[in-house]
Amino acid sequence: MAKIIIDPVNRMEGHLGIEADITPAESNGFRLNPNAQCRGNMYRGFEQLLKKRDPRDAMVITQRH
Amino acid sequence: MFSIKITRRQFLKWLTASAAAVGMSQTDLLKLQNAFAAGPTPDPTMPAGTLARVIWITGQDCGGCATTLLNYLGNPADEDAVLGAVAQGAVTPIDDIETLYPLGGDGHVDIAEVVLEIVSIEWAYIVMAGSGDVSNAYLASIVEAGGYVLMMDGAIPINNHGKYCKIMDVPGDLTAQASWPAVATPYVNVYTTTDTTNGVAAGQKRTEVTMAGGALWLANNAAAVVCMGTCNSYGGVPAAKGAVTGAKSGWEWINQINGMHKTIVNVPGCAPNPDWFIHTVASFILGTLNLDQTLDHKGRPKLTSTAIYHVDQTYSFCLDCPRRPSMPGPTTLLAAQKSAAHPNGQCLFQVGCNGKLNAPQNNRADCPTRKWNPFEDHSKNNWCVGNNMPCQGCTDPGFPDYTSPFYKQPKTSV
Repeated sequence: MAKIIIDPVNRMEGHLGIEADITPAESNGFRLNPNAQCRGNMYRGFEQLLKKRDPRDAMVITQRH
Repeated sequence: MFSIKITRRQFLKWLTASAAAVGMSQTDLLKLQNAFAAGPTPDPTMPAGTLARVIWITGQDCGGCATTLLNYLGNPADEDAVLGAVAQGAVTPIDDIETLYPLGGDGHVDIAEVVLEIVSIEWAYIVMAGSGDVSNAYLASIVEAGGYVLMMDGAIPINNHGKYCKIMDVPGDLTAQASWPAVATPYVNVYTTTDTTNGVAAGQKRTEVTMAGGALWLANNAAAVVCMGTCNSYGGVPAAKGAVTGAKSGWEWINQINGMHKTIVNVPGCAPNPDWFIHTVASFILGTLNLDQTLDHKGRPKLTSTAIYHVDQTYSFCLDCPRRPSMPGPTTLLAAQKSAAHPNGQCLFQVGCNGKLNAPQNNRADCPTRKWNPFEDHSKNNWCVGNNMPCQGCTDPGFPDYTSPFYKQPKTSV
């Protein structure tokens, strides 16, 4: 078995990484296994930092999400 | 049969608008095809020394800083010496696009010209053409040589060894590099692969780099560090009250906590005006960025009275606001909006405008005069207050905690 890691994925916002297992196939070079995974690599905790704020502030702060 | 009549120049602009600015340097449209992501070693045909190399890494961001920069359109009438020179195409170390392809030349300098003629963006995941190991190995290969400008946006989380933000997975053991700073070691994870990975046999060392580790690694050899946006300048939203990730600004993390003494320029704003960033980078290239004299007490470029930040500490942008005559204005947003009787609208102070913050929090950005979202006819540009949005004080270290609640009268006096 072999693995492909692509981290970061370019031209999109948000720190995406891909990790996929590949196995050789007879006809097509390789095929992907079902356990290909993608991962979000960044966390800021918007839910926590919205607590105890004026509800109207949410529309200013979550713009930055 | 239809044929789309589009000049190469228009095609270039379209590419830029779709965030492909750096990708173009790989095509044969321009003579920079090998400048970026050329492979595991720096390309010798790269015009080193003529273009300033910029490495742009991203922490806890929202993409706004990248978007605002791609929106840059120079104003040839700009009174600022540096921005005026950029907008008039005076800063052109290599071939000028408009000379190469005069058919579509429009006389305006936009971000395409900036990234192709003035700076060379070596690594920026949001715009680069390559992804994964191709670009990461290239990045690792150019760090040793140094001499680049490190640009960061987004805050730097340091809790749990920085694992709230991981920016890349690089082949090889980065900690073995000569320029590797020891303080960054706890913030990366060097592991050995157990399977063939990306075509390399098992047993290869790979490094998972967090934003905290990557910032130190790349800052160590950088000629200067530009902290783009309020998050990387002062912490911003990710560092607001209640956050759990330990978000730090670039200055706090690199100079204060890890004692690196790097040259750091803050370009705050959420998001910053692209002019502010272009001015900073162009000043650095032209050698006019005299840090002792041109940075204010918050690390921001201060420049002249017509440029980015006003030198006078008593200035607040409130003084230039067209709504100022009606201060303090009505108590509801609806009553303050533009009308026949008030073509500029009325003052938003009582509904939360932070345009006038008390010293030393003076809001000294030049939004009322510079404005945002440039059109080729610059008189159409707008800004937050011009659109009935009370100023949130987004260029200030106090954003968002000091300047919120945003829709209530701020903690200051008129």
